[in-house]
Amino acid sequence: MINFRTQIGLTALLMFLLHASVSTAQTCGAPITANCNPYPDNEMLIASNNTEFIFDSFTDYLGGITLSGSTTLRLKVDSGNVNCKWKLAMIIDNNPGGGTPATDWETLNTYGSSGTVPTLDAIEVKVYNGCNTPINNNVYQTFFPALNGSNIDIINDVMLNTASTPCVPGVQVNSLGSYITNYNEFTFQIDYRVKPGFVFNPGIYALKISFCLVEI
Amino acid sequence: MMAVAGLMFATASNAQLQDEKNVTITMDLQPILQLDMSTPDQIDFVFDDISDYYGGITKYGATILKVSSTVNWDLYAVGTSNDGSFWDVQMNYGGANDGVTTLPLELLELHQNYPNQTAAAALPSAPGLWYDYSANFTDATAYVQGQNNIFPSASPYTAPAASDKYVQGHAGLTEFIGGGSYFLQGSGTLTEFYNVIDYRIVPGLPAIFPTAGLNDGTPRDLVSIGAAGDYARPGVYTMNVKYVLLENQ
Repeated sequence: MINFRTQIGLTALLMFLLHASVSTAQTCGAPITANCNPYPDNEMLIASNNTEFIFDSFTDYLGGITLSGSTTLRLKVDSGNVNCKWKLAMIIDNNPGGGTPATDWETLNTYGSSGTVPTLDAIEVKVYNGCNTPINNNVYQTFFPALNGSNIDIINDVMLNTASTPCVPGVQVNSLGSYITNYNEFTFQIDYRVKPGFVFNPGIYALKISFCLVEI
Repeated sequence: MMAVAGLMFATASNAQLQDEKNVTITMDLQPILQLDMSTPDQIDFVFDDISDYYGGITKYGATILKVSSTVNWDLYAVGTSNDGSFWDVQMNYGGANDGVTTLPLELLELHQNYPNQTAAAALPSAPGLWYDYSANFTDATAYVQGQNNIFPSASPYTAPAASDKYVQGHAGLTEFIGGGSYFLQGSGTLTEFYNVIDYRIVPGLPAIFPTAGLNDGTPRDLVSIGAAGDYARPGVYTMNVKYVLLENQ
């Protein structure tokens, strides 16, 4: 009887671990190696958690609003063995659990009934740093397909590219390092731009962008 | 004991780097309705020549209406005065036997350069109804009462009914012009966002304003609304023309 009860307990614990692993993978993807130490030895620091676009003039509607450097990511990945390798990505989330269609921004409020709900391709992002390490460095991109859960990879090289001083522009650095010692390779600036035009229904809309740092 | 050891091993292998941070992006699209109007503060019609009475006076391109909107919209013109039916009499040059001073607002005719772009199927189609002011001014001697006459009202901010004229858009939820701006149109391109308005008044002789009429064609000349022999008393009269841009509703 004692052994039987112990086995039940272990099964429940293993099921919990499996569940936790699946939940993590849904957002950022699960780590596939164990060469880097976890948080808090390594971490991603972010400046500015919320970004607001307020369109209240025709200049804004026609020309769009650009928020430059609205988000800054600073990576500290300096704890692990020499095989430590990571990827960095951004994922779009429109709160589908609240009933938002996969293609749209989440509607918080509307001012009328003209036009349509903004679609996710209305948000453009540009990622860059001092050493041009991101994929499509300094180029505006949209999430493709423009659906909830789509991602834009910032660093995804399967090869290990080591940080160096001075840095090598255009190479996806994904090794041990830190914004403290290698600022231009471990710091990422993100600009946001929205050009709504006149097709969307006036209102307040929201979405979430998750930045994921995962070792590979 | 073996099971416990296995669990501890599994925990150690999960010491992997994974971190996530989030940014919430909020977009506030505030509605904008903007009407830019280029026009003289006052448009004067001075009838001091017999040919002016016969042929009328036309003021071409006296008003330009430029629309920018982020929402579906309607635009209408309304003629109004103190009583909402007749021109206001500022002064007159004669006595009680020198004609009447009740000049109907409908004697003012408008012409817009670009037709109402609301889907034709959604516009009123009953015979005798005109849904905009795009028809050319008729010959002063072969007029069509109601065709170009302004919509009159004592309540200018109450939108015209489906049986009346709009410059663009119309009454009803399904009849509107979508968002946009004259900014986006190339030069020389006709667009519903850029409307040029002409004005005409034809007094006739005797001055009964024969072209005046309601939108259904009901005559509003001085004889029809008064009595045989009526004509306009010389004097100074004024009325107010409002252009109202509103969100479709």
